Amino acid sequence: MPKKKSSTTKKTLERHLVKPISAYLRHTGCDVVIPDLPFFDRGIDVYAIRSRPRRLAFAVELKLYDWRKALRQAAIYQLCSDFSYVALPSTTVPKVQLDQFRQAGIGILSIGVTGDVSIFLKARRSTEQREFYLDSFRNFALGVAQHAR
Amino acid sequence: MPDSKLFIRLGSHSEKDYLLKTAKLFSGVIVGANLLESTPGATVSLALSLLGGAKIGFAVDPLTYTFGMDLSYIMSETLDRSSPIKGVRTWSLKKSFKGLAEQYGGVVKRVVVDNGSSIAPPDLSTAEIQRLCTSVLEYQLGRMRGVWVADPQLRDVAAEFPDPSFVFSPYFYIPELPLSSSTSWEKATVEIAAAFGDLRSPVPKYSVACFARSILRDTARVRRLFNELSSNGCDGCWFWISDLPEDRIQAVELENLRLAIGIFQSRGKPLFNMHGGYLSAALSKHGLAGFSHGIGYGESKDVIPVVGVTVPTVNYHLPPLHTRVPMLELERALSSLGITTAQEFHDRICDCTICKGVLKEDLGNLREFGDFVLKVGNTRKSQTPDSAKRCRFHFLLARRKELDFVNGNTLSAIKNQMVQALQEYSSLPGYLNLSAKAGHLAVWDSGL
Repeated sequence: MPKKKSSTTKKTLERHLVKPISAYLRHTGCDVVIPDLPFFDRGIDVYAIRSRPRRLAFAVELKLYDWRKALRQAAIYQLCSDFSYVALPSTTVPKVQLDQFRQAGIGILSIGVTGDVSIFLKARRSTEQREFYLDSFRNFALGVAQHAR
Repeated sequence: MPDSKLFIRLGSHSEKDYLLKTAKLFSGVIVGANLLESTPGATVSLALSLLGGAKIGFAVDPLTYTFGMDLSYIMSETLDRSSPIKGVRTWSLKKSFKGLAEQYGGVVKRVVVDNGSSIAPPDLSTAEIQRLCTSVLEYQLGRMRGVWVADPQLRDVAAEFPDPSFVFSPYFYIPELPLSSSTSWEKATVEIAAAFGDLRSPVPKYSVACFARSILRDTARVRRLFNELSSNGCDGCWFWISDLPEDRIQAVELENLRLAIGIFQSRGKPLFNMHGGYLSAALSKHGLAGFSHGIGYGESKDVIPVVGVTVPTVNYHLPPLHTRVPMLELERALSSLGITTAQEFHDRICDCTICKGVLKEDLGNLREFGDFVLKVGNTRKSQTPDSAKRCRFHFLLARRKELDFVNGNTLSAIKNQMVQALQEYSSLPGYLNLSAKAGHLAVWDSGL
């Protein structure tokens, strides 16, 4: 029986997923990629903005195993993003119930052992956005990016 | 069945504003004796405005249980002003609790203040119990009046200061383990209640049973404890089951709660829950006389205090589920619930004055209940004070509406409402957090 990992260990391992996901988002044309964007009393693991051809916001929830929890969290991110994804190690991806993701319109990014990222399930454009949240998080992310430059 | 009574517990004077604006909606207010000790003037003035002005109940919780727990819970680090070396800090009893222990005198002062230990069952001989009961009764009846006596301007009218509406017996926490300690504390609780019941008092005297949640699962023990507590001279009893959030109650716990209520009802004595919520209101249909909770919720409380964590978010009280939820979870679920306008929100979620005032006919304004701000130096956002204030006021008004519903309807109608909400929320898609937050309604429905 494998030893249960502590939440701190899990969080550290999840942080290792940030780098490949950030690189992937940049590769797909996102010009702003912010890890751990403050989102109410927690953080969005990765929030990204693609400016061209139309400005679009992406939110990604990273998880090692608990895809149900990630799905519920990603569903909330639909309030403040155009596309919401759950990123999982490729070994976890086969265990998810795809119909729940499809029903929610949430996509899945699969991270391979070498750090290669691929879209396993494409996200649908969110119909749950609230203009206030979308604007404020997008502007906040843009501000953070500008400050970093 | 008589209407369910709700007493609001005041944690600090920063909550006074909520209370003064809503006091008339409730049966009364309970303050901790530590608050009375730390701010006697302000507490007495509040008591007077509630007892005399708003004409609602007022009582002081003697909090004696704190002296039987690990004393570090009531200690703090302060500057040692007696030290010749500047900046030396000392770890000692908080001033308010030290003052309280000195007021109670006897075993409390000797063990806690003089010896620096917690009170244990062997410290409570029959004579000590009688002395403790007398001093705790006198404290509740006379301390506030004493504050007036000490004030040269109020001294002449001190005799006119009203009595509290009722008094609590001293009480200590009955832990689950170790068994010998658990049994000794239970015995002490029964003896204290009996001794307190023998005292003369101008106002009703209530015993208090404070115990570990696991004890509630032991039917024989619940029957024995409540049988004994109902057979003394006290006019009724308050119970405090440590760390029992009503939305996580198990079927057997609810069954035993009803057993306890039935015992008191058969003796014609009122039984109250010290930390309860909507379930306690609904239990009035089985004879629970009332309950109390705080302003920023506090519908359950652990005897072990939470220390050193960030300020908790005051979530939105969702009336259909009678529990609190993060505003984001509710906002995300609105479309699945078929709520697209402010009017639909008021019809199906809440139409209290606060909700109407916040929404201003625009559902988008709902976010004002969950406004967060990123403070300089923090990595996580925290709730704005205005948002927390809206949630608290909404909670108090929504709770009053819930009480009116319970008091004005039959048990069957109350259960119907629960079943309807359970069906509606549990049929939400599994990816919405709210879909998993209605399960307690099934337990409540079958246990009521």
